[in-house]
Amino acid sequence: MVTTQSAVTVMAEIVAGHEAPLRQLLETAGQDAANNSLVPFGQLSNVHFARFFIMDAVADQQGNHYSPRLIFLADIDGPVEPFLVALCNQASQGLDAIYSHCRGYPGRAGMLDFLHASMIPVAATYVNTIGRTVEQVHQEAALREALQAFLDRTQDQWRGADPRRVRAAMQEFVEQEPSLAWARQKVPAVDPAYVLGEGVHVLLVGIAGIVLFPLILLGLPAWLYFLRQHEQSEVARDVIPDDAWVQALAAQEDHGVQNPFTSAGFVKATPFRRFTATVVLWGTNFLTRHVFNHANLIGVKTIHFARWIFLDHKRRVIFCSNYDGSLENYMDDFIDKIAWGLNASFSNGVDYPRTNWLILDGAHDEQTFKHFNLAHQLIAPFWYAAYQGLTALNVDNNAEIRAGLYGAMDDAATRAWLRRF
Amino acid sequence: MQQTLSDVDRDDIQGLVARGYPNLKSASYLLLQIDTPAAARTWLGGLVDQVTPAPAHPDDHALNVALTASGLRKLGLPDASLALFSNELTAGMTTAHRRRTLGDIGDSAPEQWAWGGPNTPAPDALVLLFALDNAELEQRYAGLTGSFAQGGVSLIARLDSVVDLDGKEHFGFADGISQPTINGLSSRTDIPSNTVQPGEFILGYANEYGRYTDRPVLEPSADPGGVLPTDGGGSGKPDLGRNGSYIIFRQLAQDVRGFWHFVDQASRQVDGSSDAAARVHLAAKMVGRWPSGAPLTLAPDADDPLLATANDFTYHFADEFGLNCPVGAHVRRAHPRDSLDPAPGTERSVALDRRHRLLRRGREYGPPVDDPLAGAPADDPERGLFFICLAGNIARQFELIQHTWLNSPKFDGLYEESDPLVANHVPGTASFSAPAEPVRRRYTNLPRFVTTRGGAYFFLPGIRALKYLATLSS
Repeated sequence: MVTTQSAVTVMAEIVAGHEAPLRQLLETAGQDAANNSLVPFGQLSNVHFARFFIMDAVADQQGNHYSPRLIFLADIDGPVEPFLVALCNQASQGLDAIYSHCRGYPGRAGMLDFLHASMIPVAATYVNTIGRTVEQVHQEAALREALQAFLDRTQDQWRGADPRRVRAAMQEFVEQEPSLAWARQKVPAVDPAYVLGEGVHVLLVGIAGIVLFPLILLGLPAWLYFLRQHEQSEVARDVIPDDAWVQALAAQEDHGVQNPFTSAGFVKATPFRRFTATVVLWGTNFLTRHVFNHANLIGVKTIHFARWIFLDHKRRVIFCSNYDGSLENYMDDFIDKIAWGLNASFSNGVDYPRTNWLILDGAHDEQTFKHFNLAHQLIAPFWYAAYQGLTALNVDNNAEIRAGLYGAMDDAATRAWLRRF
Repeated sequence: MQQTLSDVDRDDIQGLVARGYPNLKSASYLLLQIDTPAAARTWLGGLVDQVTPAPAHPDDHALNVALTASGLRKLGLPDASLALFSNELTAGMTTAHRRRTLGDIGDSAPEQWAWGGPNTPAPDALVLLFALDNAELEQRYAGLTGSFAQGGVSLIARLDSVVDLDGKEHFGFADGISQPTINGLSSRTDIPSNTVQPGEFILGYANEYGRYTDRPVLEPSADPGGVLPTDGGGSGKPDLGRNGSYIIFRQLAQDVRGFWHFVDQASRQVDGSSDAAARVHLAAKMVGRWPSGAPLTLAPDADDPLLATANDFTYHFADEFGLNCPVGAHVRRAHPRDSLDPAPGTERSVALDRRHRLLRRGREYGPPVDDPLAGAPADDPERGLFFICLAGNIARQFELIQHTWLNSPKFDGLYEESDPLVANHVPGTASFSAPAEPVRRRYTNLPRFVTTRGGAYFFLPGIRALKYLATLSS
């Protein structure tokens, strides 16, 4: 069995003038995201992360106006349908209070249909480890803590001991601990049907790639020509965010181990940029699904979930993530580890620092890149994280501890497993 | 973008950037408040001539001067110009967010500070005075204070460092061994991993990204007299930041007795008796170097004075799992060398480390402890470190190190281990692991050994920038 993760995105238009009371409502609930009276996410056991945020009314450089929006995101285990039902059951009153500020909301009787109709697709998602459920994260964290406590009590007696003896003692401890009974079962094997399905997807994409290869080859010079033309003529403004805004953003950060990142911007208003953004995010989604689907996004190991969403006929794009550590560290990771990837996906956005050949420079212009991020960041007044005390590295290490608790292991593997404590 | 020696305008850089004046054993840090801006500008203009520049090698005294955001504002720098400085300087060290990330909560909260907090006068200026000995220091100090009243400034606090611990800090460990070398400023050559581009510490020059850190480049109309240097970035505009740096100044009290008491208890033999060798070994594991300075990675079992200044080593291949020097040890966190993602053991990892370095200029204060295991006398005075370091980008350098590497219990894959020595441990939650075969040895309930007693961010202007500030009008 594999429980895959779903990215829920609900967008609703806020009634003009209702932004302030709605924001206040969300801020109040956000003070205790797990147990508030509005939407107590802690009672929904399959939610990894969730957030509500407001996008204020805005106009683009062409003079188009965009209404204010309320965006709701959730990263959940399993399919969307039952989640929306459970959400409406669990938080009917709170959702009613929230969505009463939105246009077209029909009232509680029509809530489920409204949420359903307001769902929008994601262009790309990143899941740190596909298939790892909230329940599993909590259980494996508890297992590690119990084993650490066991080692704390017994560490004096293991000096010079055979590593296999230590592991055997740990197994015995788990067997005597009723609350850890689940850990004695084998880690569920990955569903062959799922593996097959993913393989077929790769295969189909591969075949499509081969079929379309002549076309791609023919189109490439023209695409490169347009790319260079765009890159050399586009103007990127370096807007330095003011102190008050920087402080307002910082106020929501570093209350725990994990932080939310929420940002939105305009896609450059040419068909070429819209096309390129579409292709890049499609490719991103393909890679995160098939390659970067276990604990590592091209060298960055601090992201739990992330997603890219197009809005307004691809005139705008939202990027959101749940990451470990400080924003400064996150930005530095972007620059130092995956600048080329960021360049490819964000250089289609207005005011992103100038790139060359789509992936070069860009984020390497450190300060301009940091200004760009701060200027495009949004505040998420109501953000929920199911395991705020754990980094993605912790979660992964816990899973390895559980996976290695039983089963045959040679001396070297046993030593390596014991180093996880 | 390699800088050469001639590129860096050394005559315009204050001496503290180039050296910590180790030959000048006595120091006073004078926190000043500006009372009368016009008089203070005149005073500052007079002081410029006494400022020690980078090329000087003073053998009797040295003087450097820095300003906070409020000081710059009082001198008459317009808000629009001030906003061009980094947010860290303008917003200050005590914002709600920085309290969380820097660990300034509880006993370390700014409300408890001796200076720099909300309950004490905000410092506008900092004069750093160094002298050969205490007598010389007093003489220089007297000469300086005589000018305060007429100069429109008053003294908030005089912080003295007149103690010589022979190269060690109060816990008893050699300090300041690993200092980065600024390419183009010093004639000294260093290993590449320890040599950084001048823009990492001096504003107006290319940094490790080959770019310029945010700096206050003004409109030409703001400097009609052409006092300021020209922007090295090629805009042709005057650069108020060029040849300047930022100073991070924190007064950190050290609980020396508490530290040694903790390691003594945690390293006792089975029969409960104290074990001197085990005690020092555990303390060294927490620090990452032995008292002499020898790194545990190279000298795992016993101190080795021959390795006291060893700095050309890395962690990944020699000590990946921390069996010698624990992953959570202080020096491995503050300067992880080649041990961090994305590619530990490679130049990519070393390059990342180079973007998070500090130029340390701190000194100790308070009398040393003779016997840290003896009970404290009733009137045990405060002792600790005037943590002073320079950075071109406070957020990327000091704040990232302090938060992500030292205070975060999650450094490099750890769980509940903030820095064992300097982090603001929350009672009952902090632990420290010394990796070992077959299993780690974990120490729990670490108390707090270091408490913040004061602090502020300062701008250390270039000398021409000082002259410029002295000519502003309100």
